[in-house]
Amino acid sequence: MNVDIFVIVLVASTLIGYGAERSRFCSVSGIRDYFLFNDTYLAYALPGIFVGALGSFVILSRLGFQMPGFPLMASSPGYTSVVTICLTVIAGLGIGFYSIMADGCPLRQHVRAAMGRHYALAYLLGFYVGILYFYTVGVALMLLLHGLLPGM
Amino acid sequence: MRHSSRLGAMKLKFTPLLVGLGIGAWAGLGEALFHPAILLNYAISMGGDSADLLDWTLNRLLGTGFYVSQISLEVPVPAILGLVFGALIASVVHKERGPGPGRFSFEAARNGFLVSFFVMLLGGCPIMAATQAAYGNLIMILGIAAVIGGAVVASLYVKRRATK
Repeated sequence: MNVDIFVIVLVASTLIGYGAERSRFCSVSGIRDYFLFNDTYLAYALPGIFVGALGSFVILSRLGFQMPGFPLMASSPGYTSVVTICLTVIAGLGIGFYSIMADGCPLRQHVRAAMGRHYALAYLLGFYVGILYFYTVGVALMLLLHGLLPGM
Repeated sequence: MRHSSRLGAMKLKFTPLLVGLGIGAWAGLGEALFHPAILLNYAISMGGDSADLLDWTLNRLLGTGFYVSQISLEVPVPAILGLVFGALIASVVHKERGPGPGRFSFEAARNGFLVSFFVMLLGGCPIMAATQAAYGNLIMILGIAAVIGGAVVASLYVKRRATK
């Protein structure tokens, strides 16, 4: 990665971090707030990402920028594999459930940790240990699953 | 509660919708400008970028051999560092730093552990899943639907537990 890209990514993510702190941005808490308090303030976060990304993909591809394979649809990797579909559903349900139990998505917890919140610091400790655990155990488990169920 | 921030003479109100639109637009810009080897790798990804940062650091410090994506081999994508730095600036400027109501607890660490495991299993956090879904990735469309489903189930669980 060259210096230009490094600096651009750093500046963009710093702006996002600043905005996320000021707006209490969280990609999952809006669902909880809507169901529990009928509050829609955070509920626009996830649709905002989707609309922003879709808009920029469409506009930039129309402007001639390379968007390899956009829109992916039928060429999406792994969408015909039953194992991949099952793992995706399990993973998605797990992320949604435990993010609500933790009171925020990973981005929100990083922002809270930057604010000095002790709960978020403990969360991040577990989060990074979980990444290492996945690379040592989870990947082997996934390979085993795919190997045990060939052709699915 | 809505927050506002003064940037020079311009008063800019940050809302979750505005920040979400910004993250989404940044994903498209990153893809268009940098043509990464791995799709959308320059956008904010709390799974991939965190893993790259951690694994790259451990590999350098301890000589381990954890997987690091192609794009982060020399220097890890600085998205996580920038995000934390931006939030740190905002919290210092607006005097919002502090330990908060929660404790440094095992429960918090366990939740973090489980979320990260599932994030790695999915191949991205909810933000990455949403941007990939916008790109037309059918698996991630299913993934983001499952994330919403999981959040709904948890919300109902919390509601039921609170009313008991």
